[in-house]
Amino acid sequence: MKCTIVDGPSNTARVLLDGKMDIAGAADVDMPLSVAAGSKKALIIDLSAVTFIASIGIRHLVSAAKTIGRKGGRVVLLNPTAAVKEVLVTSGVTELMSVVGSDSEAAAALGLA
Amino acid sequence: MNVVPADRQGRFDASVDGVALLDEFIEAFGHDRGVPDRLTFRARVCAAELAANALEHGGAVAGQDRIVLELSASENGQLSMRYSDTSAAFDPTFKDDPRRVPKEGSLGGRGLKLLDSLPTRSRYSRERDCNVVELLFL
Repeated sequence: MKCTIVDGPSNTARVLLDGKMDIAGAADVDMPLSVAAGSKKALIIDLSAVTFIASIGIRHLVSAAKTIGRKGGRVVLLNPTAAVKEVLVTSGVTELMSVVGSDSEAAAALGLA
Repeated sequence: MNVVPADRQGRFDASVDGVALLDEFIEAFGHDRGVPDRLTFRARVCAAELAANALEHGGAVAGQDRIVLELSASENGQLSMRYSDTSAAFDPTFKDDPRRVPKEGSLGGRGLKLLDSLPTRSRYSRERDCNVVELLFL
């Protein structure tokens, strides 16, 4: 899985994930996601190119949300596919992080709008 | 649970590479048999959860333990999956398992929640030192 971090305004970053968030994919994103969560106040995790997700991948999203949450920040999940969104909702992770469908919604959710 | 006879079987090593192949196997089967994408996806997620449990908690050893999948699809789009592995005994359908409830912000338990919710029906058995989970997706 590819993980690209793009810095944004106000100590935020956009994390672009591309590929399968399975056991192997989750290992690929662990470090960069942890670094981003450790250094930023808010993350927009773009899931539009994520083709698969299992709980091991969700684990890393939750970990990032916990790290950012301890600093008073937030994580939003941007534009997952319907199948990925079903997994996110079913697993309960949407109780911890907002799922949004656009950049403007993401900005609003993070209080940047 | 009425499970139709399997029409495709795959055997995979209980390893990260094996799990990747297992996922491709399910995806290809669903595509070939015209199974609705959402059902194939759910099956892939469930297989991934079961396999991850075997690797992470079941003591599965790459090169020694195996995962076997039997898949079948009906004309009305029903997908059946029989998953078995040779790892330590674990019943993911056991409702009173405390690992089932993810605590606020916790990292665990979500896999079991997915296994509970995504299949239409599920059944566990232990057969000849193998975990066997039969799942039905409608």
